[in-house]
Amino acid sequence: MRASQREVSAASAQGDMPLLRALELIVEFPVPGRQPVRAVNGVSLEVNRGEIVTLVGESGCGKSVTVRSLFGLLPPPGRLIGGRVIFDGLDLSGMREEQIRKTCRGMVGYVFQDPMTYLNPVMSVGAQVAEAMTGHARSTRNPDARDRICELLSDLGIGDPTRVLESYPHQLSGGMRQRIMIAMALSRTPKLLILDEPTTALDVTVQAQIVDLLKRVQRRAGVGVLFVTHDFGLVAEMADRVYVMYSGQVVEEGPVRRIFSSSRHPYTRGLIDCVLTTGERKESLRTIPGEVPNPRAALTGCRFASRCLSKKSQCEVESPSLTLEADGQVRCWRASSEIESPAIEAGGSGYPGLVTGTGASWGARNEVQAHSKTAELGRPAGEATIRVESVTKSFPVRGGAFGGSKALVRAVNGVSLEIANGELFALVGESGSGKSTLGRMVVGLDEPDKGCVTVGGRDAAEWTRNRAMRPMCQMVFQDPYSSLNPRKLIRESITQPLANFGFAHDAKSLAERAAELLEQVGLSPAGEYLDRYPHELSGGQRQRVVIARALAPEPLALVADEAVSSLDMSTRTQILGLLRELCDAVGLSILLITHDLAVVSSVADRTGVMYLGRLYEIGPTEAVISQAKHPYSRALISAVPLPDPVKARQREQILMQGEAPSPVNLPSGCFFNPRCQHATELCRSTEPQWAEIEEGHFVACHLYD
Amino acid sequence: MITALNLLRQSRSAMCGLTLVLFVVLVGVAGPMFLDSPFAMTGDSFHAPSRESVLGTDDLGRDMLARIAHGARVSLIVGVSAASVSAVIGIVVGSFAGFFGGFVDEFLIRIAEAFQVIPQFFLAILIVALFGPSISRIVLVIAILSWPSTARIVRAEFLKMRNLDFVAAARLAGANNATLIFREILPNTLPPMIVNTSLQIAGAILTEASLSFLGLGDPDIVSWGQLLYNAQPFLRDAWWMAVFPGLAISISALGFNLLGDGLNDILNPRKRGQVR
Repeated sequence: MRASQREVSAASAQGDMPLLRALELIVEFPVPGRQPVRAVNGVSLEVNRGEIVTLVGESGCGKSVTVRSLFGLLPPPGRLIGGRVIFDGLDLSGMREEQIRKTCRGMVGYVFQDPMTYLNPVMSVGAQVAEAMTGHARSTRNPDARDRICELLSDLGIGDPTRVLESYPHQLSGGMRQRIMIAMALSRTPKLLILDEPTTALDVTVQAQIVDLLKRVQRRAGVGVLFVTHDFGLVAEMADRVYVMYSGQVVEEGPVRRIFSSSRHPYTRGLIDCVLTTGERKESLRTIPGEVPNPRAALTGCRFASRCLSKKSQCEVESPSLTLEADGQVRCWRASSEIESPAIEAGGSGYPGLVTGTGASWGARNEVQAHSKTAELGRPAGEATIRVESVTKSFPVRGGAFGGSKALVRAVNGVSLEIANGELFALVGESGSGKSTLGRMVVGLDEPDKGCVTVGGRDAAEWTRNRAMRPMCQMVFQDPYSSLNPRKLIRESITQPLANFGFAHDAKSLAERAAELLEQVGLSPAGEYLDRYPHELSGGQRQRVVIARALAPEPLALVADEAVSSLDMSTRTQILGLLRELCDAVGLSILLITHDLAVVSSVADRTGVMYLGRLYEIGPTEAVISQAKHPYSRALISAVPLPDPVKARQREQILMQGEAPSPVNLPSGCFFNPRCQHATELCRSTEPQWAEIEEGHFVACHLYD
Repeated sequence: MITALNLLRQSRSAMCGLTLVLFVVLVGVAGPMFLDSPFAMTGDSFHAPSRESVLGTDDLGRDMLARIAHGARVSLIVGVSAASVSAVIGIVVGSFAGFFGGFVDEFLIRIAEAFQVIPQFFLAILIVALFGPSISRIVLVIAILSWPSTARIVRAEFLKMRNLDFVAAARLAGANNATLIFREILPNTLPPMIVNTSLQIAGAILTEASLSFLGLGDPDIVSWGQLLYNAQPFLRDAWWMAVFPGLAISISALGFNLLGDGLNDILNPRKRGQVR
C-alpha cells in the first residue's frame, strides 16, 4: 500500500490534472431474466483541487450511484461496466474494487445521508474514529492518538469531545452523528471529500450548522468536494461549479453563478424555479409536472422531452449530446439562456391538481357547532374547526436495566390554538419540539394529559371510544413509503375507510368512489392506479394516494405531519399546492407540521413556532416570516438556504449553538434561554408572557415585554 | 407460481433445498402407489440390496424401499402438520403479545419462556410415554414444544411494525384491532414466518425420528425413526436396514434447512442483491 501511495503522489506532482476526472461512466444493475437497468449512462465529471462541485437532480436520476461508482462502492448487484476514473493522476480503471479501496484509503472521504446506518452500533464512537484514522480501534487508548482525535472533533464543533468519544451512536443526535461521519472522512486528511445528501435527514437548523462547518473545513483543508444534493438552495450556498443530472445523464454543467443567472437547459431552469424560500408568496408555488422516466423503459430522443415545454419534433427522436459552450456544457437541442422553464404554477391550468365537484358532499361540515368558550390566543378570523386548549402531554420513558426509574418526556407543555374552516395553519419547529405529538392528539391517536382538543366541536379522540363515530380529522404522514401497507393494493387502502365508515357498501360503489377520490387528488385516470401496489408508484404519487385515503371519510380537517419533507422539490410544491387547494376549494382545515419554514411561507395562512412543547410565536405567515420577533423564529428563518449564490454568500446567518435540549430535562424560564443570544437573568427564571405585536401576531419573549 | 419460482432461482441453496424436498415428496406420494405394502413379506429375510429389492429386505423379509417410501409420507405429514400447528399457536401468541404490549406481552412471553426452559426432548418422551404414542399426539407434542420460537419472531415483527404509519392510518380508517393484527400487520410478517416454518418442518421430522428411534413412535405406522429402531439389533449383519432410513432422514432435513436458508436470503431485503 505504501508503494502505491508514493506512486500516486509522484504522478500528481507531474501535471495540473484535475484531482478527479471521471470519463463516460456507465453503471448497470442486472435484473434476472430481463435487460439490465442502466442507472448511469455516460457521465463525465471533474473535480479540481480545493473546488466544491455539486451534483444535483431529482431522486432517481442516478446521482448517488454515480458517486458510489467512482471508488468501487457500488451496492451489489450494480456494476461499473464502462468509463475511466482518474484520481490524483492515477488511473483506477481496470482495478478491482478492493484494490481501488486499498489504493485510495485515506485520500477520499465519504459522508452519507444517514449516519446511523454507517456507524457501528456496538462500537464506541471514539473507537470508530480511531479506526478510520489509524486503522486500529484500540488506538483510543494511546494518548497521542486520543489527543489527535479530540482535536479533530473539537475542530468540528463538538464541544465535549472526551465525552462524545465514549458514547455509542444511538446516544448521539442526528447532527452529532453526522459530525462524527465527517470526522471519520477527514481523519486522514483526504484530498477529496464526497458528500452524498449529508444534510437531508437533518433539521434545517442543524443543516445550516453542518453546511457552515463543511464550508469552513473545506476552505481550511483545501480539499476538493463532490456534493450530491436534490436541493438547489444548498447548491447556491455551497457550490463553485454545478453538474445537473437527469435520468442518468449530465444535462448541464457550469459555474454556480452562471447556472443560477442564465441556465440553458430547461430542466435546470425548472429545478431552480421550484425551490421554496421564505420570501415567496402564495402565487409563486411552481412545479415541473411529470416524473423522471423509468430507466427500465426504452428511451429514445431527449430524456427530458416528456416534461419539456419547448420541445421540437427532433427532441422526441434524436438524443442531444453534451456540447461545450462558452461557460460550461449543456445537453439540449434548443439550449439558450432564453429557454422556457418547464415549471408551471402549482394550481394553474394543466396542472394535475384538485378536481372539485365530483360528488364530494362534505356534508360533515354542517356538524360544526359554535363553541362557547373563547381562547385568548391564536384565534382565527372565522369559525374554529380545530381547537386546542392548554394541552399538555408527556410520555414515560424507561430508565435502568429493569425498567425501574421512570423519566418523563414532556413533549407538549401547554399549547393553545385554533384553526378556522378552510385555514391552513403551519406549526414549525425542530425535531423534538412536540409538534408531531400535538398532531397525533388533533387526530385522536393520542389523548392529552391535561387540556382538551376538539375538532368540529367534538372531542378529537371520541372516535376511539365510540365505534359509531369516525375521526373528524385525518392524517397525512411524513413518509409515503411507510404510510401505505406494502401488501395492499391502492384500491384496498382507499376503500378501507369507505367501507368501515359506511360511505359505500357494495363493491361497485366502493370502486366508483375510490376512483373519484384518486381523480380528485390528481391521479388520473384512476383506473391506472387502483390495482397497483404502493412500491409501483413514485413518492409524489404515493403521497397523493395517502391524501385521497385521508379524504375518503369526508373529514373536517387534515393534519399533514412533515407531509412534504421526504419529497423532491418539484413534487413538494405539487403536494403543497394540492393541500392549499383543499383548504380553498373544499374548506378543509389543515394543520401542516414542518421543520422547514420555506415550506410554510408559500402556503400557510397562519404560522406558529414551537420549541420544546411550547408555542413561542404565532401570527399571519407573512408577519411571522418577514418580521419574526422571537430569536428562535429568526434563527429558523435564517437557516433556510437562499437559492441565490450571490446573496447566499453575503448574508449574515444566525447560527444557533447546539441542538434542542432533551424534553426530559427542561430548562426553567423561557425554554429557549440556553441557546438564545439575548438571554438575560429574567429569561432563566420566569416564563415569558404573550405580547401582541400587531393584530393577530403574538410573541412570547421577554424582549417584547 | 412462476414468479415464486423465479425468486427461488436467485438462490442456489433454495433451489437445492427445493429439489431435495420435491424428491422426498415425490417418493412419499408416488412410491406407495407402485410399491408393495410395507408390511408385506415379499422375499427372504436380510436380503442385501439387489435387483429384486433395490434397498434390501429386513428381518421379516419386508421390502426396505417400500417401507422407506411409506415412511416419507409419515415424516412429511408429521413435519408439515407439526410446523403448521406450531405456526398457528406462535402467530396468535406472538401477534397479541407484540401488538398489545404491556401486561399482555409480559404474560404471554412468560408462558413462552416456561416452555422454553423445560428440557424439550425429555418432555416429549414423558408425554408420549405417559399417554401412549399416536401420530396425532406426536404432532401435538412437537408443536407444543416449538411454538415459542415462532411466537418470538412474530412478536419482534409486530413490535417493529405496530408503530409504523400505515398502522396508524388504518386505525384512522376505522380498522379495529383484529383487522390491524390479521389484515394489516400479519401479512407483512410473512417472509420471516415462511423461513421459520421451513426450518421447523426439518426440526419436526428430526424430533419424530428421534422419538420413534427410542421406540416411542406409533407402532401401527412405518416411520423412518422406527426403521432405525428396528435395525438396531442387526446393525452388523444388515447395514442397509440402518443406512437407507438414516439417509432419508438426512436428505429431508437437509432439504428443508437449505430451503429455509435460501428463502431467508431471498426474502430478507437487506441481503437482496447479494444472493448467489
